[in-house]
Amino acid sequence: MIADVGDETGLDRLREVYERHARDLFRLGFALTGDRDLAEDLVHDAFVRLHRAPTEPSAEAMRAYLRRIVVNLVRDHHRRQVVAGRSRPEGEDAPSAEAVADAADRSAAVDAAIAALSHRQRICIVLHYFEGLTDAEIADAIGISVGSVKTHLHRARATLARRLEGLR
Amino acid sequence: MTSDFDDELRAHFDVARDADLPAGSFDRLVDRLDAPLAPLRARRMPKLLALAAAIVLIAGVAAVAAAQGGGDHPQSVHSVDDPTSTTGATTTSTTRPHHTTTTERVPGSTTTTTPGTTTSTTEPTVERDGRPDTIAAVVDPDGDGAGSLVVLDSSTGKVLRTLVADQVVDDVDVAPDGTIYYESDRSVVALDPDSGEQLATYPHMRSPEVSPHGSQLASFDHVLGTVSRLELASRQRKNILGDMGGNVPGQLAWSRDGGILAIEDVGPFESPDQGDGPPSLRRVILTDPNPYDDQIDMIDESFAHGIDDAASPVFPADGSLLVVSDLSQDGRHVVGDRMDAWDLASGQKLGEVSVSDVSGLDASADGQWVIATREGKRPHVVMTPAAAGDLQDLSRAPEGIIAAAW
Repeated sequence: MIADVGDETGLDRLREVYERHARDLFRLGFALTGDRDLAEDLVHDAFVRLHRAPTEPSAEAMRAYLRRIVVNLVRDHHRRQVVAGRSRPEGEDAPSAEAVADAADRSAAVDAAIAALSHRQRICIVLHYFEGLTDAEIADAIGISVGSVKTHLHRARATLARRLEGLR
Repeated sequence: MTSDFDDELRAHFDVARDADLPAGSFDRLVDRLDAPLAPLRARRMPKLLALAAAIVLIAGVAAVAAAQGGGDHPQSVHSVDDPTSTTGATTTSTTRPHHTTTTERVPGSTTTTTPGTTTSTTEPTVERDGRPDTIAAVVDPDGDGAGSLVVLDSSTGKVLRTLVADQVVDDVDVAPDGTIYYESDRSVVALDPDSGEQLATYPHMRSPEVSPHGSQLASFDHVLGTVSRLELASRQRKNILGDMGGNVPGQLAWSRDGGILAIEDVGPFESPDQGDGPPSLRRVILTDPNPYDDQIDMIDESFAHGIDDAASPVFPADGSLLVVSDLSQDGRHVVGDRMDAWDLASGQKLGEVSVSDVSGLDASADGQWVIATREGKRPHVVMTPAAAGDLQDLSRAPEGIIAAAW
């Protein structure tokens, strides 16, 4: 447990960690989901887990630890959305092609194209282009091999380039 | 792909880089820590109102029954503090009459300690028949997430009744007394199999698995990321496995004596993919959920015993661990083409059975029979003797069965 919020010292410690990491986590959540409310919920969920964790990660490992939780919470949320029928099952790229074609501007087209990627590819893209992580850091964040990260990034970039080609 | 394209993708996320947390975010976090369920409660207010109405109705029925002198087994209705909340939220439940009871001390018998009191309880438990007449199953024929909870004839698969229709139903287990526990919309619901009455709702729990003697409910807390067990009699809840580093427990399985809990460890990406990678790695982690202490007793034996890349753990009668192996991805699910039996004491693989596209397992109460769901164009249920014998298709079962238990 990182801190007991019932005492002032614990609350101050929690606030310190929150102020140091929450904004970046929120931005990551927003980049991954495009939903500000959901992004804040994800940040809170991550800190709830941190608060309940039996041991506190070191200061050096804290950012990566929290990032991994957020990424996996996004994954879990996505899975639930798919199961609940509120999200397009991955692998169905027809909506994305139409969305890209109908996009009013280039930025919206990129949004649509990224949204149409597989969940795994989308996370790799966000962690690479938004977070600026190396392949090894991405692999650590999402628990797959570096080789798989390279494969996902390569395929994601190729897919995005293909889908956006007509709009260039 | 050009560097310009890479630059464009980096610049595309500038909107996110400029985003900022809403004011008061930390205060809302503190509220969450004080009351972890608050946001979920807010989102589910209509359901809670319905639950409250059900509580009033149940209480009224109980009062009438009491006034009429009840019967040999009057229903008891009680409301207890939600052990995961500190805000006084309540979970209301009704205790159904057990079909049969025994006073013999079994692993389900527990000594519970609460602040200020020490209570020793010997839970009445129920021994299930070897091969029950019915199976509880989750059916999702369209694969769109809107499923049904049905009761099937265990010989033919014929649907005997529908308990829940057109809801998000993901997983199911059946307690020895017949109570059905199913996962729906991030909660576990206890249901009377005969009347369809909701007996209790356990928020933010998934993957319900009732211990063989019916005293404990193991589940995954999707908010805290932990595996916990709830003692159904006392409503005390304890973690038995801490945060799995973001991984998600899948299927859970109790050993026959209730001393071991096998947990399917689903890797970070269970969600469907485009077939551009290997299936998610699944391991079977074994824990020793000692009911008499508060310690988290995780024994990660997956590597020591070589039980890796395996799913859907279940314990047959001989005490071995049966898992699905040779995994691959089939649509939304990871399926296997082989069932392996492991001797946990020696770490030796005892044998294997070839069976295609198996996705989930559940053993009968005596461990002599195993039912499995099979994926494919027509997901269905099969049944096999745990030791040896041929698989039996339940030919009259509906299409799209994604989970089954008995």
